[in-house]
Amino acid sequence: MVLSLGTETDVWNAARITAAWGARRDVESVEVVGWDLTHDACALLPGASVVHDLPLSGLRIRAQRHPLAAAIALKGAIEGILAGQSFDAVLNMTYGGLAGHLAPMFTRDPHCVVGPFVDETGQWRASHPAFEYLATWGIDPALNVFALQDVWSAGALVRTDEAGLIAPDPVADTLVEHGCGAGPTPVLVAPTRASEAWLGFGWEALVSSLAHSGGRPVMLVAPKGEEELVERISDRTGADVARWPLRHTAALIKRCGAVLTSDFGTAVLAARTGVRQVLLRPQGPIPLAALPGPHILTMSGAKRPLHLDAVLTHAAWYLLQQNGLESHLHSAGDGLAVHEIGYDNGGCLGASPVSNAEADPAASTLKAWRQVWRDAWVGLPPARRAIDHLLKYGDSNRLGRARLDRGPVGQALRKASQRREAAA
Amino acid sequence: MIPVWVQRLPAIWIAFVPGLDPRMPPGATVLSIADAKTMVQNGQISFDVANAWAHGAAVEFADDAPPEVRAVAGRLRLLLPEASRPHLAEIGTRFGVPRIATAMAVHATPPSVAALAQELAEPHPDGVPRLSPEARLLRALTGL
Repeated sequence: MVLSLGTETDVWNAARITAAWGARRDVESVEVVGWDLTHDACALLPGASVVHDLPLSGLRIRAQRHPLAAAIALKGAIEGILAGQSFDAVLNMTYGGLAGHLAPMFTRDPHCVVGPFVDETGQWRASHPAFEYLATWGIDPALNVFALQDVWSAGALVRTDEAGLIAPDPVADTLVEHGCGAGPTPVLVAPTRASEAWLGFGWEALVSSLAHSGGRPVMLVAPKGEEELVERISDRTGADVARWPLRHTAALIKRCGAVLTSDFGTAVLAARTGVRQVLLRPQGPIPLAALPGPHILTMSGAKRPLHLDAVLTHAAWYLLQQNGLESHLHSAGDGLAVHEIGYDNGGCLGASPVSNAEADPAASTLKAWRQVWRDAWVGLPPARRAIDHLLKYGDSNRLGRARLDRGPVGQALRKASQRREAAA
Repeated sequence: MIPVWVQRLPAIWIAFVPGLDPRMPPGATVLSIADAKTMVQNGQISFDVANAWAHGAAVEFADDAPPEVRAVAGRLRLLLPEASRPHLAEIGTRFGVPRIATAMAVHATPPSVAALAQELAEPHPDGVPRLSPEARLLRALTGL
């Protein structure tokens, strides 16, 4: 059973695990427990045979009115899910008090809980060092070196580079076929209002230029709460809008195979369908914890707002696979931060700059960080070479925090530092 | 949640003429104004009303209800937490949370979920209290 009581993007972090568990011969069924608000997202998870919903707003209202009311409702919901049985294994994918307390209630033995949970003395426990890492380092972009989905997969003993792609609904696929017609499949654009503040151009200009120069029509998809913006862009550019439910949108993304967005939720959904995408981001360091998946080109203005031409050039190269633009790409890289997200040699998600032909020292340092932590999770001593590399090139913020670690990584770093000081 | 609906018509009319008031939510626990007045005067409420309240139901009435209905419904809202306490143990037992209900019945006004969860922690010989299933249920609710 997989307990995922978060947002839609949190739910999709479970995709690799449900896919891997669902494919195991010794697993009878994989059941997912989510909120009623995330039911559609849970229903897309590959390998999941049953989706249960907990009523979020109903429980909140009851808890405000009467503690007994909330307790009776929650107990009823749990009994409805259990139906007189218990689960052999429970994966809790939420770092919240509700899920931490609920997880042990779905199984007879608390040792069968994978992920963080609250034990009978009220203390938080973690079933795997990866979850302790997550609790300690969190999602701070200045500290965390892993994508969240990689940490969850490692903790659930699932390969970090498992695809875990959303299975397209055959009915939705037929609908998409009719919706797209016989012409070329469109490029999907999912804009956000917040991005208008940091983009150096309007979405209307991007949509019309892309439709004009790309050779493929542009179709708009509205991220949550962005319906008005999408209507406005559609009115001004004539681009079609796909107003479809989530599972149909997922099938549409899969069929179109190219997404340009500034919305993180859409980026995660597109990553779970395995298509190529361009993700426009505000300035700042790439938040590694939130990496949506592979086959993504992220663009942000390093010193100034993104320029329309630069976005069009990169979109044509990456999404539409138009050749002969490599020379332009290198020259257009000035003042831009353009990274491609993919798997590194260790099978973990990482971002590497596309315009840099030589090995990037920052990327290799991040790889070394990931290697020492992954080794620690499986009980291997940290590689001396990696530790030396980190002490030489590592960011002082991360090094300072990691030296305080009580596990093998902290010990190795402290020992190596002392050795270096003695030698000096 | 199905509300407790205070109706100005006598209960017997409502029972025999279904659909008399289309604004009344289906399945509501219906109280005639006379019943509501009796409950307010005696300070004793029926099990059905206590049960509905313990399930989170609110006391409601029609938008165009006369001042008399509004007044008695308002007083019933204030009275319910205390007047339903004798029924709480019975309701809690029926729905499998007897310890929460018993702990609640001690309080004059409904305590917070967090305070109640503290009270339900079980003592242990090693001095560290353990979470009973009901206490765990309440603690989980604090994380909503």
